[in-house]
Amino acid sequence: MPELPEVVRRHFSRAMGGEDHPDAGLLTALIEGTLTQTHRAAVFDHLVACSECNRLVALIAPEREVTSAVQPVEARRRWFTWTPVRWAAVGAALAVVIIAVVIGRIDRQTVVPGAPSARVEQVPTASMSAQLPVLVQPRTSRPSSKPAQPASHARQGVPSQPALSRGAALAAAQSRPAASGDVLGENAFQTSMMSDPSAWAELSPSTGEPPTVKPEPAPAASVTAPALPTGPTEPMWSLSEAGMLQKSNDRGHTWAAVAVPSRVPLHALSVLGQEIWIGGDQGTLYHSTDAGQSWTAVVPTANGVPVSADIMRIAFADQRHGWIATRNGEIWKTRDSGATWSLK
Amino acid sequence: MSGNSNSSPDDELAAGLATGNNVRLNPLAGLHTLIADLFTTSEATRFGLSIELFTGMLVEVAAKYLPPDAGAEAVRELLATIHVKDLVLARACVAGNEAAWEVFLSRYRESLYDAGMAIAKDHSLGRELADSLYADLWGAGSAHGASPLSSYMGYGSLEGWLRTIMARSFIDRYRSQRRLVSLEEESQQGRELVSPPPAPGAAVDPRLEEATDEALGMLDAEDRFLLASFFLHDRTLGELARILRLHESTVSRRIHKITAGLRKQIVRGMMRRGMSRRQADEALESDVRDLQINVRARLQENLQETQIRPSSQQRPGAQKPQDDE
Repeated sequence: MPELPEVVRRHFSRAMGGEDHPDAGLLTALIEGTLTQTHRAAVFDHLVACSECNRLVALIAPEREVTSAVQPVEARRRWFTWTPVRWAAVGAALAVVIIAVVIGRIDRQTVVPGAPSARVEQVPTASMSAQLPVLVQPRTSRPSSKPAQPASHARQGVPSQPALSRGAALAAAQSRPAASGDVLGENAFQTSMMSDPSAWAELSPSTGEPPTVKPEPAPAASVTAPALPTGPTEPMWSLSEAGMLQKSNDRGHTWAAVAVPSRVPLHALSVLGQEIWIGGDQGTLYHSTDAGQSWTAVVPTANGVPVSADIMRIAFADQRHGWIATRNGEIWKTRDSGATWSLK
Repeated sequence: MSGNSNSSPDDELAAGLATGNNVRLNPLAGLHTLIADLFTTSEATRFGLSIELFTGMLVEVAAKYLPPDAGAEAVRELLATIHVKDLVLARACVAGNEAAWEVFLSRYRESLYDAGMAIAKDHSLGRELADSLYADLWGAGSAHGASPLSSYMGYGSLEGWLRTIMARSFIDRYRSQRRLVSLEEESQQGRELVSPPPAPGAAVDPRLEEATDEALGMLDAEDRFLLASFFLHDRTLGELARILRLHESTVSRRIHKITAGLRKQIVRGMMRRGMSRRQADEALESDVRDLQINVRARLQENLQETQIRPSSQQRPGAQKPQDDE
């Protein structure tokens, strides 16, 4: 870290003390990122001058794991500033985009042959998926009780995670943190769901059969490919790289952090209209029934033993039926909006 | 809504305005629809709060956080930021509403303990902090005067606000305990050996001072905060990252960039004031504290001299402290 000129230190010191402290509300808003422009400069300038308030904001800042990817700046710059590496990175990014587009086209042509109104999945680029590790768009209407699935699976009589085309699956796979050490990844979770037809039978109790192809309804999956909202006012939800919940009201152009009670990194998100579930480290699970306005902590417990592993995936088929998958391979299931749980 | 269920929010607001103090209600004039929307989303009716009381709360908020001549846009921006549900809950608790306290307990009791432990970094002390705060909120709210909750204005979430006042209470407690440490204990800890901070007002070329003022004034408030916090208040990169919701490496890069930019800006400022590039670089590199030592040493050496050169005549950066010793 370069040294600050001593004269600058002295200028800062000269300004110290002597002002009224901002009230707890202003400091809280600063930490939560909701400080208005009217107060922003004044509060920051006070924190320059007041060591007590400076210490206070450090105390109240939420705990987060932010040290994982820290590398010395000089070390990283040294190799990346080498021009051939920069061009190679640009070329690689272009190649990924082209491949993703080609796969997306092939997928639309082959997965649902002849279907006139098949869902159009937006296949994200590598950079998009890096920005949005998990991105979920709420559905405005209740999903069909029978989730749709690709025709190939329907013919084999094997239920699968519905309507996740190859392009969408690629996007979901790209959206996962690469080095998270996720033992039970999306594929494992899907496999688990596929191996348990009863899970889908709960969604279609009348037949108990694997669902048939329906192109129109959205799937009951917690992780979907990033898709443009159908309406102008529908918010988009995602988890940031640091594991924080964020929301966009302008189709993903800007994102605002959403305050949640949890201070642990979040890994899983499920949005179903106003119903939002978020999960993270050490079995942290929260549920909101009012689009993130308020949150309730949920502790899945089976035989008196609560979930303790990191929650990596959440899937809710409707308001009542849902599953969570943990890092150590456990699948927990609820049939009553999280009031009771069973461990598979 | 209060009263007649057939009346529109605007009608009720108008009634509220009519019964209220016009002077106090002025900041919210022309924002009826927004206030009515906020009233609906605040769930104030759940705790029996009328729109008149709700409007009064907003007036109080606007009066506290905005200057008297604030425009409608500033008021609108502020009200859009306010956590009205939390504000209503806090005020209902202050009013002794049982249902509100039930909601408060179920929503914040556990998180208060979590916050206490996170702040104190100690389980028992954290619980003590949380219990103490809770007792203040509850006890004062029930009978013994104004609850701290009455000072919550909806700026920032209620949970965050509770965490902030708990942290402030923790710092106050720590400070009061430090004051009780005896001089004997302090001397055992070697504190009497700590040298006093250097006296302000060192001899620095006024052009350097002016250029520094100018360069700092051009920085964004957040950048000034980053620099002062890191270099002056000894905040770590991790702490700054958490405060600004950034990654540590991002904070590190920003501090690098700001520091480098600031140096350049100060040098340019000095050159505009007539210094050569070399003089400006030297002036910037010279350490003010070292200059003070330099002056002190010279004063001691020339103790017998009747005329002491004023410190302002020292050419900044002309001599490093090592040169004198």
